[in-house]
Amino acid sequence: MSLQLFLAMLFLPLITGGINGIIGRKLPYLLSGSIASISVFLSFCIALFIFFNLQEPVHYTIYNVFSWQKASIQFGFQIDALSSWMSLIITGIGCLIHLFSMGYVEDKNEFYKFFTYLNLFIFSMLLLVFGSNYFVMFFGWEGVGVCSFLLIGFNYSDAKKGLANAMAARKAFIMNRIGDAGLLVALFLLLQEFQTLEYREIYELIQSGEHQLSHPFYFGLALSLFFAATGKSAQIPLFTWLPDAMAGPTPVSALIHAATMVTAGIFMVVRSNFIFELAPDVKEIILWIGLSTALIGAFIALKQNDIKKVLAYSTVSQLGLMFVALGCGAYTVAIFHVTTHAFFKALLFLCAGSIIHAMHHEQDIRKMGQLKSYMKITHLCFLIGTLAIIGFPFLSGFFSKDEIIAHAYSHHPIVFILTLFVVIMTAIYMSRLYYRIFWGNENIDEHTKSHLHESPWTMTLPLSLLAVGALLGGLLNLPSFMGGGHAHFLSHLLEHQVEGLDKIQHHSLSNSISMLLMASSAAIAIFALYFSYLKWGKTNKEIIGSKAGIWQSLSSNRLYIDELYNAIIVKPTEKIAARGEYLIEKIILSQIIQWIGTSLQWSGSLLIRFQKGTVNQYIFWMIFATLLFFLYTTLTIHLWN
Amino acid sequence: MELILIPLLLGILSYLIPKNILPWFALLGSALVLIHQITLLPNFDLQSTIVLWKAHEAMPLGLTFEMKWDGFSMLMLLMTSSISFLIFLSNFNRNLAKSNNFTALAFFMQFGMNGVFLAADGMLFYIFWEFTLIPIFLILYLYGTGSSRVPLFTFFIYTFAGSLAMLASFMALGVFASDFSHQSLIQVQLDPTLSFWVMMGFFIAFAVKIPLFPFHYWQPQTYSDAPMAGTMLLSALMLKMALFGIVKWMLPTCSEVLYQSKWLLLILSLIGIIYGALVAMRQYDIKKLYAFASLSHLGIITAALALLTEAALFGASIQILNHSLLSVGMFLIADILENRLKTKDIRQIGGIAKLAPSFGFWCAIITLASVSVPFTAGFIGEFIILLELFHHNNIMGILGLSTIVLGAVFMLRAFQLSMFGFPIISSFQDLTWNELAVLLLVSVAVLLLGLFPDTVSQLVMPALQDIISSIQDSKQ
Amino acid sequence: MEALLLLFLSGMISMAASMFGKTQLALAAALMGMVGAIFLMMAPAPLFQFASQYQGISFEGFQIHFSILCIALTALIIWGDSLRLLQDKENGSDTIALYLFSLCGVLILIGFKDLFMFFLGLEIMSIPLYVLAGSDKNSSFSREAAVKYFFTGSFITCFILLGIALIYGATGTFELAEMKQVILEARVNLPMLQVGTIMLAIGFLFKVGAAPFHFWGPDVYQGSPNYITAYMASTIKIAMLFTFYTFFSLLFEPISKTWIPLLQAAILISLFLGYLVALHQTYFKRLLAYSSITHSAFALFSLLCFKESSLQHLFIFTIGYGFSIVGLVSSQVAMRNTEDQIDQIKGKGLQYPLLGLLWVSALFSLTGLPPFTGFFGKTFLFYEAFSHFPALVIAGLISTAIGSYFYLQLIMHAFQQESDQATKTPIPLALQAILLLCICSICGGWLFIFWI
Repeated sequence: MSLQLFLAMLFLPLITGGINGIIGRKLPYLLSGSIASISVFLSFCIALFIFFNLQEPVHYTIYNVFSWQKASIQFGFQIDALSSWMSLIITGIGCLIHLFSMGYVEDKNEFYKFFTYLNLFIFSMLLLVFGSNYFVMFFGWEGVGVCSFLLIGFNYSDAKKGLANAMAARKAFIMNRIGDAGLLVALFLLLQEFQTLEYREIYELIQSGEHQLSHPFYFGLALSLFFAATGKSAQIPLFTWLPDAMAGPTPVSALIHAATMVTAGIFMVVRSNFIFELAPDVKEIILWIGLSTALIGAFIALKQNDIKKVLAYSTVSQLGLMFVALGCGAYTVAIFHVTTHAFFKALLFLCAGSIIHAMHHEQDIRKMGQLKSYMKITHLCFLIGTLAIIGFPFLSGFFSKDEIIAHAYSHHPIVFILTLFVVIMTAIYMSRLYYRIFWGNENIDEHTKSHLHESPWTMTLPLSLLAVGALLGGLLNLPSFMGGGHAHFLSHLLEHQVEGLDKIQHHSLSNSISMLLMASSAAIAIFALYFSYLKWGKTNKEIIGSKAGIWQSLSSNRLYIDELYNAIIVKPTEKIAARGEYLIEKIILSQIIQWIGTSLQWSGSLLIRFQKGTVNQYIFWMIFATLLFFLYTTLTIHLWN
Repeated sequence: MELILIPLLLGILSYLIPKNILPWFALLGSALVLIHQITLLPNFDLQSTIVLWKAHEAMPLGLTFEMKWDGFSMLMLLMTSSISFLIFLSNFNRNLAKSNNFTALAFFMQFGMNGVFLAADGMLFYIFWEFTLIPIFLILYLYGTGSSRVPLFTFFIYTFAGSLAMLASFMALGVFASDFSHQSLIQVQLDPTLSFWVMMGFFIAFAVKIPLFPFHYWQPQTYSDAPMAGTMLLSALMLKMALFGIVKWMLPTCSEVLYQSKWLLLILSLIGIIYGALVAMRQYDIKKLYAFASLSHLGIITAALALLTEAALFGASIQILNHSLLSVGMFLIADILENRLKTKDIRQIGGIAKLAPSFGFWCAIITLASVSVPFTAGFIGEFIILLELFHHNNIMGILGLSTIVLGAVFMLRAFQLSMFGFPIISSFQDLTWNELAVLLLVSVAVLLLGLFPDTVSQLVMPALQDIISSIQDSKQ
Repeated sequence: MEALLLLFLSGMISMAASMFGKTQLALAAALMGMVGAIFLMMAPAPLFQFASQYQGISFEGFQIHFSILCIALTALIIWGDSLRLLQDKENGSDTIALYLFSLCGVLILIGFKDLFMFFLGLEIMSIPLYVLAGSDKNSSFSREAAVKYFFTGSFITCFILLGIALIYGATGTFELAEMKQVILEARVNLPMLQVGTIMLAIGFLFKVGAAPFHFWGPDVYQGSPNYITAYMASTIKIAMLFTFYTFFSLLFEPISKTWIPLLQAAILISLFLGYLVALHQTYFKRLLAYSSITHSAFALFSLLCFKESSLQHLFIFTIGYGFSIVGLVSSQVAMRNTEDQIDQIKGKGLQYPLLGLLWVSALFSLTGLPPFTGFFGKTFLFYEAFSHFPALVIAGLISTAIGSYFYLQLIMHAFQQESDQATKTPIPLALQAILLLCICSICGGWLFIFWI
């Protein structure tokens, strides 16, 4: 596998994005759409090729960005199992979603811009995963942030929601920026201690043990890295941007805010696992933050009525589960869940997209129902997605989630129980969503119903492909007692090629316990399905505006977290700014200027009094001064002779 | 010598050029200056400083009209010429471009700037430094739109008084030196108290010009009243004179005091960074917003200068270039809005991006560049500076990092309020060719700097190393 | 010497011309005389031996430079004033003659070698001035100015005369050279000498119009006809500064401890008084008067440090100062600012580009901004004084900053966008030439440092 090939994979999306951006306005929209999709598809093929021909990690250094006496920073790439695996996810799901968007985006004038941004996103995401050091990763890290900013605010000129979309975009960007500051702190710490940012070199330096660094240092380093991750992957405290980010077009939500970008944090933690291994307290923090995020996300998702909001909060909680896995030190499991989650969450989002498309941008599930009779393929795919996410036996989610549960079990019973809670809630809200949309009463207004239809093939084809993925994704990492020889294919792959992962020893459970756990979670899934079928399947119990209890209102109001942030951060900052500006600009500085001017004027008017205009007075003053002179001289005369 | 004479001649000539071809004359003239300097680049020995001109016989009170250049001043010269080219270009189809007086004053400005960057003699530096005040003042006064004269007054008297303080410092140094030439001034060893006052003299002069936090009173209103070209000259070029002065004159002459009292500069810069950002969040006059934004951005640069390390100085020089380029872009955008909508209030603007897609696109590029996302020069500059700041003091580093967030807040606010939302107005004329060219050039330059900062470092590093080593020597 | 005689001759001619009321003739004689005088001054060797045995007056070194400067300034002034003088038939040529006689006094003052010649020159210079100040018979201001100037002037003349007497008594000689020897060898009655010195110092402070003996200045400057003001403010002041220097910095250096403190006090007061009061002025010439008080304080810095170079700096400074004054007054004449209000100049800078250029250069030169001559002169003086009197120099810098306020205000006035532009009347050619000459010498005068 040659450098040129790799660069081709990396830059194909960028090039087509550039083409679209520059001359896209002139191109027919189908052409601009298809070149974008084809370029991503091509880079997917190259990624596959690279993945299969990859024996051991490969490093490329392109050029020296800048250097000074302390350190030098290269622009380099590292291709190993982890990065190429991520690249498969990115490009694979990416090209499906490109295909989907060609059917989805109506505004044909904005077509080229949309695909420009999408391709830029793919490029920066690839940069993020392939970078051979934290610097290049930071390039991608911020790049995806910018792209998501542009894509969330894509419908900025909408009469009703235009500015709201823009605000959501800004919120996302700024929250990400806060996280990025954390990442920068980590970079600075690394440069301070290791004088390099290359993953490999840092790993070797740590392994060689010549850097006997204090524990607080690793604590701070790992903590700031994790803080950055909370920004990108929507964990507490920085998760509130993700639900708002649903203001963007649905394919964007599927690609960026479900499958790829939000998993960048997990990728980064896995990349720097060797640092986290040295900071066990941080791992503990990660575990608990991930767990609480998962709980809160799932809890809020219970009562949301916007189809995309439900999926968004479910994404938050699934990411939380991944962080639980990371907290337990099960890095490969986290990646495994990233993979399966990419499949089924992208699938669910795209289904939601096709539903919204069909329902003329109606997102409120209370206005849906009985859609199964209208949209067969979408219904089937959504069902598969639901089953996968709630861990229905032998679908992809089942395996990945059970791995996490197993690690939680072996870590601590409380963690285990809370994780089970998350699983239960997941099952409930997902099946609620499913039944409310496809079963229950039909609350669709006539106008919409009149042309309610299945989506075109450009949308259904990606759906079905993703559905296959969601069905069979589990095969990638079968548990040992099922897979036999090929068990834990993914874990082995990663452990052999990624720095640090091979050092981590797994306390694997006995088959009986893991079977038990699987059975229990399967049972939970099936029970939840049945229960919610009773509750929402046939008729629609809850009427719009029905009186809600404290728990319902908490859930439907998202635990008032946005309000909280407003109250404790945004408002005080604005107040301080207002006060400070008033105090300094209007009072202090201007007053000083005033004071100087007036005092000068005043002293001038004081002096002008002497100029009365009469000669005798002039002469008087002159004599007065003369006398003073002589007085002074006579007084000082003895001093010098 | 011709480096400073060509702009002077162009300035005098532009009184004789007929109005209809004047814009072309200005454009070609500034391009000529730029090209001339670029042709000087190849046979330019980076390692050494080259004496351009030196008065032959002894002048009164040791005035050696000496002119030197090294990598750093070379960079500054290139920046000046390219920025003035951009200014003339962006001014091309405005009424101002048809005024002989304005063109001449702009060229005189460039003449003064070049002199400042080349002077290797304290008095000469001061002379050029003060000279630039006249053209900029006349431009601001004659072509400004301010109702009240107070801000301009404050500007002039502030800067003039500050310069007088610098003059006092130069005199104090010159009393102890054999003559006013740079190397004999930096060899002067003063006792700490006197040296402290000398530093304060320099500091006041430069702090007013930049302006640093408590000295910025003149800035917002002046920016908002000034004509576009005037604002560009102020923020893209005039500030840089002060930064250059700090590096070239203040650091070497009073380094040992600086080591004790650099916290002063650091604290003021940090306050400037945060305060400027906070206030910029509340502005509705887009030019004032940019003024406070540059207060915040320049805080970073001054902090870098106070760190007294090569890397920080290098980051500062990247950031200087970046800020100059971007302020041309930003104030061009502001002027386009003001010019076509007759308002500077971003609350009364909206949905421009829908009406003028290419304008919106370039605004997005400039805005993103000014919040210093990767691939832009700003990112490299801020990265290095904040890195050094963090290594110097972690708390300060983290405070400085707040600019990453706050900067995004106010820049995006300005961008979205003006560009996004539903169009209020019916029609908006899209970019003309020269505006497009300016924005394109700025973006390309910023992008290239962001990708290949090493080229700049090769140019400036030797000079910066000289400065740092001279400081180190005087420290021992 | 020959130049002096030539000027005297041309003065006589113009006097004679007044009998036939031929003002043009007087003017021509005056101008030719002055140009000739400049050439005679520049001539390396005296063209024809005349009274070479008489040592009372002689010109060498800076005396030549200063006298050329004074003659040139006066030439500009008379040329500019000719516009007014050519109008009135009966007195025009007398005024010119008076100018010339007073100029003779100036030259004597620059070139004198003994106290006798000094006093002679002083009187020859002053007495025509009293008349000139009142030469505008129609205006009561002018008469008031003349009277005030005469009273205070004669009062001070007593001081000077007494000072001379005492110095003579102390040293026993009139010859400056001898006197220097005597003082160096300390064969003097010291207290008497000190008293005389102080008396003389007071007289000089009065003549250069430094505080606290400045009171006559504003009234006289405001009252006298424009160009007379210019003459007093430029030529006379420069001559007096030079004489002040020759006496004190050269002659009385050994007893500097007596008069340096007094001089410092006078400088300090003048530095602030002039500019602070000038902030309040609404009359143009009055403002010039007050600012000239501060400027004489700047010039007096040259007396503080006994270096030969300070005379050169004084020269540079006076070039900038004198031409700025003449140019500003000419600008007033050019825009027909009869009642001499500052508001009159509103927008004129845009209306008449030449005036605008002049105001920019002259006012910024007085403020002390490069590249104008005022900056160089002032900076040199300050820099030389800095090593001994840093505090005084800092005070000077501060007052410079204060002064920038109203100079800037004037410039802003001049370039204000006026809605109703008065009808543009062309500037007479002579004035245009004068303005141009002033601008050139303000911008380029400092180049003298390259060949002095």
